[in-house]
Amino acid sequence: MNPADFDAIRITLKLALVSTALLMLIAMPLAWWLSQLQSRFKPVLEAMVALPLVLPPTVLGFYLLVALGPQGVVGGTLESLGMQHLAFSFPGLVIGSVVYSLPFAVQPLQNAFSQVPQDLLDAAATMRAKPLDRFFSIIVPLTKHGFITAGVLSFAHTLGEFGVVLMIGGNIPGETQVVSTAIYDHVESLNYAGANTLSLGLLLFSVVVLALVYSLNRGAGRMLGGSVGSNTTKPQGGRS
Amino acid sequence: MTEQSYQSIRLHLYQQQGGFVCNMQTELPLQGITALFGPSGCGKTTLLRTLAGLNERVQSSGACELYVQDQHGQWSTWQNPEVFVPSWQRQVGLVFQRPALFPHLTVLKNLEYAWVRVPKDQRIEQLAPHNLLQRVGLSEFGQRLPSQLSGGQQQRVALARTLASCPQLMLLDEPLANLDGAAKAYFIQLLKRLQQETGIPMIYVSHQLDEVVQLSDRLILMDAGSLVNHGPIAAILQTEEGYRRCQGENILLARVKENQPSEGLLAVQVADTTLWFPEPDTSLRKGSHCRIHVQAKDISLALRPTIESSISNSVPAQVVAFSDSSHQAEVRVQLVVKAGHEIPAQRLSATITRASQARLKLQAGATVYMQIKAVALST
Repeated sequence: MNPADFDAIRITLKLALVSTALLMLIAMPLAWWLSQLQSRFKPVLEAMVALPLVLPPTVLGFYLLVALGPQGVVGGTLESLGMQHLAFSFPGLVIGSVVYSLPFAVQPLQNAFSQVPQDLLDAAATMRAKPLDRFFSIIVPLTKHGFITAGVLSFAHTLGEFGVVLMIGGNIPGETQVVSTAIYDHVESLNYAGANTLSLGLLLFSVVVLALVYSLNRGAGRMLGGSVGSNTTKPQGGRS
Repeated sequence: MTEQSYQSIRLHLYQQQGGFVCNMQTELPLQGITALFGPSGCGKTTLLRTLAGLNERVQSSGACELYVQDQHGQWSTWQNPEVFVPSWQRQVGLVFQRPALFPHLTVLKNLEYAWVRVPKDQRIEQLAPHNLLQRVGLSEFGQRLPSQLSGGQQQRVALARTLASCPQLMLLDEPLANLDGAAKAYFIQLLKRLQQETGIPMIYVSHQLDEVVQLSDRLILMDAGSLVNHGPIAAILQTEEGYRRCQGENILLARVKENQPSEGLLAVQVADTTLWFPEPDTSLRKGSHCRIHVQAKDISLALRPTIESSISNSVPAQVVAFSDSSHQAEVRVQLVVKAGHEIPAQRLSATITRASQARLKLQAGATVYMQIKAVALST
């Protein structure tokens, strides 16, 4: 492995950690809201969250690139405030990853939340527990599996993403080049041995992660079934 | 005894769900145990959830106004078009049909969940988790998880947990629905005693007549989404609706004369007569007042006291009026037992056939002797 590979691994891990942390913060209230929502617009909202599952990553990456770039809504606003636009930068990568992995965090949590019996929450409410108190004292402990699955899947999914990162990040070594794009570079330059080292690493990592999720899944019964299913049926990132 | 408890509730609830209309308007005094009795699906649970503050959505499809009076006589609003006081601010405890224990917490931690959320100045030491666990007979089970307990034990934990939140009103939604005979009897006795010890008013929802008669001080009759009648249970049972819906149950107040556990017989006095009947409760003290139940169909009427009969209990009473019973060949005889032993005159009903009525030439004002089989009596 050359120094650029180590950089790629470092950036990949950093990206996955930051994205997962952000995803959990965003997905927790969003999943709770969706699990409690009784509106005829609920399917539409759920479809929006699930969109990254079916959309080619390049499409998502392209629109994000446009929005985050100097001419885009977000990028342009930032520039007018004297800041940098986000295309081809690490923060841009994080935003892309968060959007791309959103369903992997939201769905397991939403499934878990909707399986918490309502009478437990009612009972807690009559025992003077306020809504936030109920969330942390009843829901979180009862949906631990959902949180672990959401975290692990988000992390793993961010590690493996390719299309979005390539579009937004631009594959700049030492800055926005991650393992998956580094592998692509190796193959382009016919360095199959280098590509193999990194690929094997990702492969082993993914097997371990999925084994972990499925063993947790067994413990939690049907709690997490849906989300794992959707992971395996999802078109995997690649140059689509 | 708690000094903090709600005195009264004023309520107007109108709700429409599909073809079912719920329409109630009343003021309910809260004393002792009030039973909410009616067939399944008559709106009992809706009313209970509204009181608990778990029925916020009612506003879109109907109307709900709810006011409560505290121990100082102050009224405050719980719900009207402008105001909604959420559950966690009402200090109303709720025991469900299912125990609804927190599965991730031990029994003791379940109780502590309620206790730690009570402000320090509102805590009642008697309702502290350890005391309550002992009170419901589960001291040794504090460290177990709810799933390791039987259904009856779980429901006792649920009761204790609700009490540990030091509520000013307790609501119980058919808490015995999933319990078997022995667990049920134990729970009823426990609930009765806990109510007397704590003084917390309770509203008890049930469609089981035996539970209602054993437990309640006051009775609310419900049918098809509306309140039919409410008041002290003995009086409500003697109303037209009460007689019909409660299958002629009578409640009599009596004074304990003798409690002979050796023979398993309890002697009580009603007016000047002594009644003997088998009673498992040996805790009734001589001279205290107790309630006895007898069904109208278990009372037969005689013009003279009988002497040679296996029926050992014979109480004189005066016929007041006659009215229809559920069957056309039967008649409900309304009777009054005279006052005595600090107990005012009491009304009750006997169901006899019209043929017997004619044969005895019974008329209003006549004195009769009610013959009650000892085994038909219970406290």
